[in-house]
Amino acid sequence: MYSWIWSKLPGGKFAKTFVAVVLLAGLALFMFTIGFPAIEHYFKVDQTTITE
Amino acid sequence: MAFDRIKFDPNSVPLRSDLRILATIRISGAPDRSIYLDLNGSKEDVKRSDYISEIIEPQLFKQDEVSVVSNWPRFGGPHIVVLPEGQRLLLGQLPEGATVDVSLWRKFIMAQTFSNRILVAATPNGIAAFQPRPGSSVTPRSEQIYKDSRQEQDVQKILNSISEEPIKPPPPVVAEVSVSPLYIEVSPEPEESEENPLKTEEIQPPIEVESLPEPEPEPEFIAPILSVTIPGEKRSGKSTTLMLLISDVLITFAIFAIMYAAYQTVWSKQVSQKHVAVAKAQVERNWKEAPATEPAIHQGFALAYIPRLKDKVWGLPISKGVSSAELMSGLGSYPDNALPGAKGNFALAGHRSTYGEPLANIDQLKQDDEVIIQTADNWYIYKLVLDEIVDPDATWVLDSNPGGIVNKTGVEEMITLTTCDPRWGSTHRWIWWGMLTEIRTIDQVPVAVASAQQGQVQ
Repeated sequence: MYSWIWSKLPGGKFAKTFVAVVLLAGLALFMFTIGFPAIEHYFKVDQTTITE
Repeated sequence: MAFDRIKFDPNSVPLRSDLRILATIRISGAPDRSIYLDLNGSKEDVKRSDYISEIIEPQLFKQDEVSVVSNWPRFGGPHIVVLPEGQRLLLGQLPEGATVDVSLWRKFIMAQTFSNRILVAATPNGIAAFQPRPGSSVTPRSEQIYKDSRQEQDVQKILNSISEEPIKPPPPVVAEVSVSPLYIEVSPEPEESEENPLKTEEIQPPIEVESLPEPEPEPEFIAPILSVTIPGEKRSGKSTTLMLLISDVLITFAIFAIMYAAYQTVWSKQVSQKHVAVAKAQVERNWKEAPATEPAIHQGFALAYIPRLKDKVWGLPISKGVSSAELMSGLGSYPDNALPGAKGNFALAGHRSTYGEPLANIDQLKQDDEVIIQTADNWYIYKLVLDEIVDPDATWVLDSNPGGIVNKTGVEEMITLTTCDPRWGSTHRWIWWGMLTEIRTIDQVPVAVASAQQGQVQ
């Protein structure tokens, strides 16, 4: 999958690297602002309250 | 077709299913060298022993060491099979009428196979393949000599190292590929024959032919020059595909796991800082606008100071409620419990490992440490008296007299701190209880707070 994605990225090696970094940053931003907050409730590593 | 730009990906194409062509390599001055493949081999799950005819020319083969470099049906190119003996090479899978730009063979290919490295290079007198062999005197360098930018230099260096006289970069080679149902012929000189029904002119499109170099003395076949570790690992196409699939899944999982860890540790801290600033401003605004009103749920109403945890809990807003929204903006107070200074248990919760982790160092708290709560009108000074690690559902810790602690202290105005334990887990809760020892009006700043403020001023 990743080799396929790499093959589809435009440009040479440096351009591909740049585009890949941009894509990864975009993915991270999306996950940080939308994805992870939405699922965080199910994967809490730090539950602090006393609940029944 | 730029041959040296084609990346070898043994998993992108089915290997070996069409390797059934007798190929002959002809090099001027040297005897023909032939490789036989079994025409009757199965097209699926073909093993090396299936398509190599050991019977016909057993001395040529060590079956397990015969390597398929690749095929490139997508690019119209041939298979390449290189034998570990080092001097034989097969072009395969050329359908009738197919063409190959043989001039590409003036250059070289450094190919990575399943278990070893094979160098295919063109010399002025033909094509040569070099098989790294364990135990040879020259050890390959760790650098990847097949990288595009350095490929040619590295190969030239290798060629020079194995020859008494440096081999100059080869002049353009004229070569021709002719195809017949039985064999592929690679020869440095074009040969037109009426007997060959698939001579060059019939191949579409015509092969690009460049000038033929002057014949040179036939060099010795180049001996193996590198040493490698050949693990001998063999995988079928299906298992390789499965392994790739699994590796993709694992890589994806790892990426998201790392992202989530960064989100929890770094990003949540940044988010928390913003929320804390907003909540603190809201608390101070509420004090001015409606100091005596009962705080609503989610509303900030007090600030917390813990001198022992001064770097984390100092002027930290306390909001009513213990949901994620309150806890990411400071401390949250259990909504059904008492308010600061009132009889009962004023219970607070705070994160220990994410969202600013205000109670990260709860393990550093000691008995008699102060917890100071600032409201619109008063300072409430509590002293910690007891701690305990309990189960997450131990709701009794929030009672007004948890474990009979009031009976021991004689003070009904309590405070309780709750956070997770262990720090990066949620299996238990760490509880600290304290009792109210002093109430001051808002202008009587507690000593700990005042000294800290003076320290900041100085």
